[in-house]
Amino acid sequence: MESIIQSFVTFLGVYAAAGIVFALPFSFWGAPRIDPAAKGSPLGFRLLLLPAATALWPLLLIKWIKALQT
Amino acid sequence: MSTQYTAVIWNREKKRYDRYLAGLIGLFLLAFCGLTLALQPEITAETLIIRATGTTALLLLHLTLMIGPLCRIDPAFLPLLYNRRHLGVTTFFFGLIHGVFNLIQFHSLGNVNPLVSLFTANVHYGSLSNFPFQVLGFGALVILFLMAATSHDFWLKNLGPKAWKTLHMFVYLAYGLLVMHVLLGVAQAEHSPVAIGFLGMGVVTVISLHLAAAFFGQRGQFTAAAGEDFVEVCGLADIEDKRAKVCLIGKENIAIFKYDGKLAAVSNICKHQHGPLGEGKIVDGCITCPWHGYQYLPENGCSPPPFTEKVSTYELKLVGDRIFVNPRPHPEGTRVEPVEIPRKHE
Repeated sequence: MESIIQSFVTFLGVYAAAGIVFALPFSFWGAPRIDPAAKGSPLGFRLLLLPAATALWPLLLIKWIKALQT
Repeated sequence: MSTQYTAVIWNREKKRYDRYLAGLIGLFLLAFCGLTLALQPEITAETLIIRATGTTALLLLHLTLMIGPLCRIDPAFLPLLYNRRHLGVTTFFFGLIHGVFNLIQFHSLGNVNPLVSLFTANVHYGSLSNFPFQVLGFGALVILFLMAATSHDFWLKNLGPKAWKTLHMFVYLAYGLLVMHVLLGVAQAEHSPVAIGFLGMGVVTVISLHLAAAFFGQRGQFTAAAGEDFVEVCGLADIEDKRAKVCLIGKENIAIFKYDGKLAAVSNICKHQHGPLGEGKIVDGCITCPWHGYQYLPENGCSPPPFTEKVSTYELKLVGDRIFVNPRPHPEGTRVEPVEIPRKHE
């Protein structure tokens, strides 16, 4: 049981670390790319995107890549 | 409605609401801490913070869940609905403080990772009465975090209203987890009948309000007769001026508005958060969603420029003082000439 929980917590840590690395560039460059209304938005708005961008980074990465391809 | 995002849309009403919210939370915390200190003078500051923040979060979650059904029962509560988002985010922050202090006090003093300790301190996962209640609280906090983090309109638009709404409906799962978290916590640690009593009152109130809203807030359901395009819905007198009558015909959820001596019908579902347009009213010539103030012109279902939201429109006809609607929707944003109400009926 403990090894499963240890693996789960390690996975959470890696996932969150990857999310933090992703969130900052997403807030400044990805968000305006997938939603033009985010262009030129104030710093406070961009900082507000960080928690959800950290949590949902795989989904947002796909959206960002799709937006870059169009 | 705005063309560019800002961090928080604060207007005079929202600021006033937030001041009331902060004041009431402050009063509650003072009362809670004062009472706890009077009854348990030996309590440590950490334990007091854990209990005060956890109780506040649970109370705020109850209030958050009560607002929706209250508005369906009585529109006088709608101003609370417009500001519910701030209440939800505040709930998460109190839950977060509660969770962090718990981790520090109970799980961070050994050589085991605090999160691993949270999941392994009690491993009676097969037992109902001894189930590790901390894990339930952690699950609820994760849900509240996702809801608070995605509460901005940017996420609503870019995750899509359906996915966003589905995510935010998980609040009921979070509520269930929190109720079990408190029940098991009290049963395993404190055995306090007062806490169980208050929790029971809260659960009964939330469930009763939802049942009452389902009963009183039921929309008119109609069925189209075979071969008939139009369905009789109501009389002119059944709709107040600048308000709507809502009807469900098959899968179509339609709001029929009466305004300026005219009738017009649009989809009852707002493009923003699927709010009930028919529970809103006509403001400055526009149908105004009661949830967040998104607006649509009654004759074509389009938001006024520069906004781009559109909803479906429907054909109406008036026979005597009876209103008939064709439940086949026009494409979103299609202009349908409003039906003029003869002067004798106004």
